[in-house]
Amino acid sequence: MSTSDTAAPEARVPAWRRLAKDPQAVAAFAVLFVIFTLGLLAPLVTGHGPNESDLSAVNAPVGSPGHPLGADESGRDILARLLHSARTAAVSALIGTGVALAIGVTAGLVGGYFGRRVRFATEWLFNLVMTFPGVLLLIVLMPLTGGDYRATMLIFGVLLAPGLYRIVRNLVLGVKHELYVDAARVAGLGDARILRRHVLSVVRGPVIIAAAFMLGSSIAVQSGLAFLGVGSLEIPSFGAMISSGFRNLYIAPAQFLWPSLALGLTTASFVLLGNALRDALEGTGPKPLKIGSGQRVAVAPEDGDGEGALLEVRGLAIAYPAPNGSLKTVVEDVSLTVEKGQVLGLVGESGSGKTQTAFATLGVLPAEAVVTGGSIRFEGRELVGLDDHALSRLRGKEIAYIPQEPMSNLDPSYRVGAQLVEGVRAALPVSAREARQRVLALLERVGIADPKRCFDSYPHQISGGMAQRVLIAGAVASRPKLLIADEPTTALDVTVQAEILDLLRDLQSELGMAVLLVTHNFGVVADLCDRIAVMREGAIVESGDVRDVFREPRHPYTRMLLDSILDGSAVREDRPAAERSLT
Amino acid sequence: MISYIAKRLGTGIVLALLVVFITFLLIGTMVEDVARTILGQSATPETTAALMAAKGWDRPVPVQYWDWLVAAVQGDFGQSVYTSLPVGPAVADRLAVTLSIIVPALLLTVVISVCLGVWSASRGGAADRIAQGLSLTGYVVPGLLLAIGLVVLLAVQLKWLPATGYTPLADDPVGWLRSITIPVVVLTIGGVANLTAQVRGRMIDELRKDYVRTLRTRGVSSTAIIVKHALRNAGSPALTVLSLEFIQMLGGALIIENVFALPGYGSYAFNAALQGDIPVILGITAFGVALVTVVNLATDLANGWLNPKARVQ
Amino acid sequence: MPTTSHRRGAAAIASAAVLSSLLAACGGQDSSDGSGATELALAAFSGPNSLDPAQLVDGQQMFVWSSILDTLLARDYETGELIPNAAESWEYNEDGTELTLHLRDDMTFSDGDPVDAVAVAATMERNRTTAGIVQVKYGAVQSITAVDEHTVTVAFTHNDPQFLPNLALSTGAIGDPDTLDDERTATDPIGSGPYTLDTANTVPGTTYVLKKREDYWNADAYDFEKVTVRVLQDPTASLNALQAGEINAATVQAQVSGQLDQNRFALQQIDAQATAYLDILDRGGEQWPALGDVRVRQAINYAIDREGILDSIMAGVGMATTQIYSPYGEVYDESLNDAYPYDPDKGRALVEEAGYEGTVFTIPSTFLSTSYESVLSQAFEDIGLGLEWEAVPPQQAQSAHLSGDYPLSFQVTGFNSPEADSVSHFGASGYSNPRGYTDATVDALFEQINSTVDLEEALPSYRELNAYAVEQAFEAPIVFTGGLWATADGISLTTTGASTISTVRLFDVES
Repeated sequence: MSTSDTAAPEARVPAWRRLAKDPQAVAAFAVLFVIFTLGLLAPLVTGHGPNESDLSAVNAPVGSPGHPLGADESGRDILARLLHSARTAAVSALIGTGVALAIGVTAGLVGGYFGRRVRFATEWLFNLVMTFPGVLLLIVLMPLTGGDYRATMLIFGVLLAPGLYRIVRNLVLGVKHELYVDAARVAGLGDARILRRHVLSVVRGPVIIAAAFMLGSSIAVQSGLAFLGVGSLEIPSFGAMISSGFRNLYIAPAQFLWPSLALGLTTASFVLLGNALRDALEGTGPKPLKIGSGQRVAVAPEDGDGEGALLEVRGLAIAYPAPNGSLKTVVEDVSLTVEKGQVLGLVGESGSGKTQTAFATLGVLPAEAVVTGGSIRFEGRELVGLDDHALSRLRGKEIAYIPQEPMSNLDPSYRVGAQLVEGVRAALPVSAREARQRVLALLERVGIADPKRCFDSYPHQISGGMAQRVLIAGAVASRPKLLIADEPTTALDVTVQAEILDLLRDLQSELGMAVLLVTHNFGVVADLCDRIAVMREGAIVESGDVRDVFREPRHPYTRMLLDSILDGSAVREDRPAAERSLT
Repeated sequence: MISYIAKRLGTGIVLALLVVFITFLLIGTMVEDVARTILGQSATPETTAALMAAKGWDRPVPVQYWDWLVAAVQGDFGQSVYTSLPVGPAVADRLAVTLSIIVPALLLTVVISVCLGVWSASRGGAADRIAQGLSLTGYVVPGLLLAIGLVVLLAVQLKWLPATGYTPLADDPVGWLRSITIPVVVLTIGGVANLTAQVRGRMIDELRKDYVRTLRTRGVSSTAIIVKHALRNAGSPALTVLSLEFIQMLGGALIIENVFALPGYGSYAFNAALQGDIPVILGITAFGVALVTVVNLATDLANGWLNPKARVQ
Repeated sequence: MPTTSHRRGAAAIASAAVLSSLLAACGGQDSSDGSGATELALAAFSGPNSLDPAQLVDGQQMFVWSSILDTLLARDYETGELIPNAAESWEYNEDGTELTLHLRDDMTFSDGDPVDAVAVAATMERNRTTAGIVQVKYGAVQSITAVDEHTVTVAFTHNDPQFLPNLALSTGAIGDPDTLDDERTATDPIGSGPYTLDTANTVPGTTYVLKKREDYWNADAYDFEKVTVRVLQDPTASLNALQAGEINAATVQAQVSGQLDQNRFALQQIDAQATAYLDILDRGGEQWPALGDVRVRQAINYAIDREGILDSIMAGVGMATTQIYSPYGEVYDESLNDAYPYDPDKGRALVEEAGYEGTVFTIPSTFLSTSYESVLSQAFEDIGLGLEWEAVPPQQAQSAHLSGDYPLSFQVTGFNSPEADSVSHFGASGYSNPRGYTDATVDALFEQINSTVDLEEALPSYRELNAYAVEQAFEAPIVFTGGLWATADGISLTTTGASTISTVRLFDVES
């Protein structure tokens, strides 16, 4: 997410502790722990060896004395074989994954960190490896491995390596030019040391996750090959047991069931563990969004009088669930009013809750957020508690939105024009043709030199400034009454910022729109706004007429913010505009 | 575009030749074992040497490779040592069988996974738990167990479907459908387990993206956002998973092929490898690499369609 | 004689139970109307490697090729005797260096050409000079002559007792001289046998469809208008196919026979089709001195609980044995089976007496040995020895056995003929004796055997060899593996085990 203060605040709990609180992870880990510990302790758990055969017990049923799970076609104890199979599975998993890690991570670090030529070579090599259909290759190579499962797993590890290589290489390419790596290089650290100290720490998380999945697939592949009869059947393994159970399916179905279950549980546990690790190491376990049902609300909307300002927010409170289940409030008792045609600047530092307030007004808070109190009225209508369908009558038509980060707010898969046309047609009852003409006209209006070309471009083909103009065009297409602009210039180049601000000002006066302008920049406020509301730590500390507040800030926080501008320590580029409006 | 495709296919051919050469080197060490296996109990040093000479296996590996190459270019991949059949048509026949299981299985997998994944990602709550539960069940229940259960029920008990064997589509479409039903179902369940999780994850990521919020603020309907925008953007990584799954199934369908006595590519490869049927191993390898190249190319082209950034200029 | 039927690597998938049944299952179409079937659908363990006479493999592959290519001789399924087929009579000269074959005069190829002495001689000559699996069986053949239209003489450098019985197998197949060197010979030859290959419905390696030739000289002896050979390597798949009515006869595991509907399927048991034995490769103790000591070899024989293995692993289908000759033949001696009762204590005493306790042997683990491995390891442990199984992939099983790297090897080989079995197990060039170990007694017996042209006359020598081999414990035979056949549609077996050569005539329709 581009806006820094939209992310749900989350306590920095160590990954393992988050893992320990995830029931899925705990269950998967417990299953694996039990299976492999029993495997390790096999000689203590059962009195039988895995290949010890007792002819009197051939195909003994479950619950036979001395054979709690029965015995197989050669009179071998099934429990003992099951436990020893767990050992084989563990060894297979460790070899397969170990080799993949050793090769994949090393090559990934080298390929990502060093120059193009090295990368080209590793790339080519791993592409070659990826071309082999894995299982087929293991079979074709049987004469080389002699059917020994350890040798087979070694090769399988090599086949797994390209997956890891890609992950690591991409991550390394990503961090290679990060400041701290550059700094380390400038500080004279050797490549090996940088790789170990700085780069490896970045790739650790994703690699651990991938490894969990690889452990599972190593076991699955070893079992599959053993099922097919590759290798010695003296080696107890789930696959060999399934194979023997399969032959005896009609004689003793349970023989087939035990190893199948054990294998299924083991591989599924690794998948679950991998998922849980991903959740724990890569931040939130992304939960599904309930699309269309609107924001979560924990307050009964008040009955309104149906009259009043264009936008009236009263006592708005927003909270996010904390890891311990309680709600943590991020916006508290925010009230503000925007009159028709008026421009309100909502100012504050990152994390002060201004974007949350804007999103709540639009009805697009993240799924976890809960509106715990207050009301939001647009032309007197209560918005809190409405679902997407009900809101869609307002959104795009009466209320429009300009985001902070232009690029990520365009769908990369569709041409610019198609996206705008879709928005126009969702908001207004016009034909495709009309919509297209309208969009072209708008593109021209927002200052795009070649509207036709822009219309037919994909988002990645246009510049950031142009993208922001496109988004502005999209927002004003339906001549909304209220425009909510969330830091509309922050992500742009300095030279473009002023142009965009000019455009906004022109459009505002041309269309007579009210604007709720979210920003941390007093210069922008001074330039555009009629009124100002200052937010700090989720609450409004001061609000009023721009001139009044600028001239006589009452709250120390406002004063501090203003002072910092006048010191010239921030947003120097906006000063001409600020000076102009102040004089 | 055409030159791009030609280039990719060319690379594929070079790769296939290289892989076959490596295979040549690897199995070059086992020709004597193979000769002995063919001769069985009548294998003596003399007869073994004679057979190797007759097959041309006593010549240096590069020479054998060159001969193979020259013949392969003309469409002659040699003859199986164990069935005396020309390898090219045999591999093609086997591929047809395997593809007629894999392709329907993959199509079904895609349809089911996309529905389940999208449903789960955009509904959350109970829908999410159900979809995740189904996906997990697919992981836990071994395909083999399922295959056996279905055969015993549908083929042996109810006699609705055949227990073994394959009917070519051209011979009898209904018979073909009957003969692939159980294998396809078994493969699909495994595939769905994997792909649903992928689609769900990608959709969740996608639905949290900024452009989705922006589309919502423009009044675009939820359905359009999910289907037209999020799914399309989620599709490209899912497609990559799918192509990997296809490559895996090429060899991985082998267990299913054995259980159902289907004359497929996987079991052909497996038997050839076990017996050391050298010409077949080489043919299988060459076709396999070529097929993988084509699939990867198709994946990249489809990715380009889904994702303009990945489009070839 | 399916001595080689296990070779096919695909066998690895199959269970030991199926491996033990050397013959392919057979089957027929799904008909519950009770009328006799005219179609037979066989589930063979493997299809033919080739239909080229010089590359034919015996064993289960015979189901297909013996239907297309006639053989000079055959075996009677009830008595096991060698009987006339394409050759209506034969005789040897006095010292066994010339064999004269008299052919029938009413035989034709599927293209109408006569099957005559020229055809037989051409096929034989080609076999003799073409590198391949059949060639070695012509090792003693000097020349082949078509004397007249229906007479062929084969001249040998010395008497070869194995040659004649082999004429009932691949050695005696007759190919079409006009097309022998054509490409089609390997896959779709002009046939001399009772059936032709229906190539349109055949999927090589999977399904072979055979159509009866009404112009075949012995057409009346074949009950089935159509024969389908299905290659099914997995016993469960084959049982499923049988129950689903996709085949109408198959070998089944004894333990599951209860599953089959007694009203639909007839079960017939063959007690002995092949010998499962622990082969002692280093009989002279060249590299592993322990095995050179007869007491150790005998101890191994005492250590094996044959009845136990038969009852449990084989589910009673088979026979315990200490000898390798077919129990249906004339060399077999019932009394020899008392030579090594299960007595691990005695075995341990013998090992200790010989001073080899604690010796551990490595042995190849192959798809043949898997079900026996744990039992045999246990048996070795019981007598103070050890056995370590080393995984060997199928295509290297043959090489491992012959390599000299292993002191022991586990084998399952089908019966061929007393002549061939003797050489194979105890002869200096025998497959089971790759180090070529002999002693004075063995040499003397073979000399006797090789100089006797008539089998009847040679029988005492064979029996003596058998007794001596058992006493010397050259091998450790375990069991004769049997087979349990399930057939439907009124199909029955024509043998109780005397001959189990895999041809379509193994089956007929009960009237």
